[in-house]
Amino acid sequence: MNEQHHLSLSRREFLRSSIGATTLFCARPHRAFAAARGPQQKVVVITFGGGARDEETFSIDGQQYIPNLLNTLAPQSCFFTQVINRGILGHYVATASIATGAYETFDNFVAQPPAHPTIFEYFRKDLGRPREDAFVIAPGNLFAQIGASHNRRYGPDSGAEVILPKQLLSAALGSANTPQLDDYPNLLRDNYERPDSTSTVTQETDREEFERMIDRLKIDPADLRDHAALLRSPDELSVYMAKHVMRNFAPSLLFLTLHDIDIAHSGAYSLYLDGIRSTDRLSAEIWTEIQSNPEYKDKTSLFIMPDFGRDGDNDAGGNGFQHHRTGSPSARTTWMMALGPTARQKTIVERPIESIDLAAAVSGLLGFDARLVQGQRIPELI
Amino acid sequence: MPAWLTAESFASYPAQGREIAESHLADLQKIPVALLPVFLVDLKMFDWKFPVEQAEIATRIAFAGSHPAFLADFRKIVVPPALDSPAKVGDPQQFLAEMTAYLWSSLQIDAYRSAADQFVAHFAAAREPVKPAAPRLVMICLGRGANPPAHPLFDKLRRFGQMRTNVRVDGAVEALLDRLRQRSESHPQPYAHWYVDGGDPLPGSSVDGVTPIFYTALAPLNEQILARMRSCIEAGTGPEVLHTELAELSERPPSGSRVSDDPRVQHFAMSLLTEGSGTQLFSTSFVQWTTREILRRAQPVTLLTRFAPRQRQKPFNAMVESQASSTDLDPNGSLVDADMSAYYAYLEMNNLYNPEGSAFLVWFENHSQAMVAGRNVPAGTTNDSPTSIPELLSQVLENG
Repeated sequence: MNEQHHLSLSRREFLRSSIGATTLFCARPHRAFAAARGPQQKVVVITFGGGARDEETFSIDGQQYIPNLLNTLAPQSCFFTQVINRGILGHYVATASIATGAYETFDNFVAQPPAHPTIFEYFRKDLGRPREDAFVIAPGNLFAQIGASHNRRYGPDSGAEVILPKQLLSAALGSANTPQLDDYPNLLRDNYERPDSTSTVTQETDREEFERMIDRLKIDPADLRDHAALLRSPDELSVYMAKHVMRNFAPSLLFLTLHDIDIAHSGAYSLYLDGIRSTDRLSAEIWTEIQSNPEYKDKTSLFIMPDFGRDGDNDAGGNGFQHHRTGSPSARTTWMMALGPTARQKTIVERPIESIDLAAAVSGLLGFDARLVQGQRIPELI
Repeated sequence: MPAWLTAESFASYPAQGREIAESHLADLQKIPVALLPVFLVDLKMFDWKFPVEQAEIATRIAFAGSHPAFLADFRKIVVPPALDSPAKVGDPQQFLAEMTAYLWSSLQIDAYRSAADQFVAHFAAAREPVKPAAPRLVMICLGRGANPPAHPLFDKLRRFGQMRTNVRVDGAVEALLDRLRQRSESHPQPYAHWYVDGGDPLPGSSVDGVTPIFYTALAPLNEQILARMRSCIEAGTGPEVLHTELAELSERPPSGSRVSDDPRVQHFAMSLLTEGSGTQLFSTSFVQWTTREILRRAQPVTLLTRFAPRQRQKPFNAMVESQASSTDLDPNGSLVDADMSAYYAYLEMNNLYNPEGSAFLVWFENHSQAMVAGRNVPAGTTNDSPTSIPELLSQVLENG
């Protein structure tokens, strides 16, 4: 048995004992699932930039940190125990790969559009959807161009609206001549892997665009400032933005990338655990929003998936939870939770899938042709 | 295969590293290019390596040269001409960074990892292990200033040893230091006995034969590193340039950064702050990484590690802007950090020679809880009877 399979089995057994889930062996579409699809289907994707390991999540030791994922969401979900990322284990490039359904190979630390078309471009161009029907909410400047590829058949004209919450807040502060972003220290716990002043300092030309975006998104700057003062982490700001977008635009395709967990790169285990607790709580908040918002209730598929794992405690060349540099099974293997009308509740799918398969699944749910996607359909869902 | 390697390729290397390279030139020429930068980094840093590392580097090169079959999978990795070049030898750190980036972007990193696992397994089976002069002893002191946690302490370690719940506090710290001193006197050997502290060192901790690493003593050096980080952040150069700049600092320390008269220790201290992630900001991250690096690299006979409370989390740039405040600390979070770090220290100790014969003690400073592991300790048990640190040390060490 290889280590990836072992990880999968551990998750399966843990979930079975925790929530009484059963294993789904059937790899064909369930008739009820197909019937559930309709023209008003919506998809929300939550990825964690900064994967969390089983030791701190879906295991006996880890369950204390994920009460919402385990007790509230997992029983309503179809849980994929073995999701493998075979690409580059850097957060931006991996997230872009999830969005394109193809392993991107660009430099993870350079902000740039993906090479392959994104699901947002397929969706908008194929179905003739307006810009406000596809949103990405991402943690920083590095992700600014994730909404559209540089594929000549697609590109920015058919891409998603990308929201960078901290930059929007910065613009909101500037326009009101109020204190600067430094006065919101809880929102500046930036990625320890990529220290960069430009992630928080907005250039003047960008500021104008962000101010236009504030208008376009119907955000009240004063309201944003007041809310931001109450928030405890960058991810809380991202979720606040996600809820705002859902309530005001109800996009059919919403892609939210959380990042608090990546504090793990600082080496402080307690802060990593805090990030997991925060992500657990915020994931449940999004599900609650879906359930309480009539635009989303009963017609939305929610996918929750870390972009990849983190190094194992004994991986040679690593330092345990701190990084994801070894390419070991622990770093490459993660899980996915699917909720909503197309996911059979309390089921476990043990067969391996890849993180790029999600794009193919979304294309099936929303009904567009993701013609350059390399990932495979997920028959248990569609 | 780098047939283009010649003795002149190593002209810029320090004396001992150059000598080893020249004497093993035929072996090095047999090492596939994908693997070569790893060996070159070792040679470039050879003069500052600890003695056990130096012996292993030379042995490993000879082993690789004489067992080409164990390198077969490395030869299958496709390397572009730009990296298959003698021009890369002068700066092996950069060579390694470029090779790593290439292996990831060409999706060959898994093949490389698999080849490396096989080679390491063959080498580990063939080499003569480094035997310590006495049973290895690792002592860890953690949780200073923290409240007893709500969760069970030493949770990951319990299955390997015995929980002690009634440890006398009086004289406990002194007992740890005494044991370190006794062992350094009984088994004098360079770099065999270490004392690491995340805060101010214990009184009387300056002992001949014990190598000290104190976070507070490294503050001037850390300030220079933080200054370099600040300049990179302000310039918006990104993490790769920052990494390169820190690597340069490691090779060419700036004036005023001297923290030890021993070049090896000086270089080691610099590497802890330039290569470690978070070590510049959090004392707990520093002590964890230092402990692991001492075990991995120096393979000590005795190691005493003492955690101190780290600074409370702040925005990243604010922490780079100024060194940790001594007033805004997070002792309870630090206890959680250190608890996990103790587990990692135990795992690392078990990667060394004869782990069954080694002894391990971790103590919640100024509290009655400890955990011990060793050959005389029933694993997975709890003992509530009164005891002391000297008694626990005697138990785990027998006559050590």
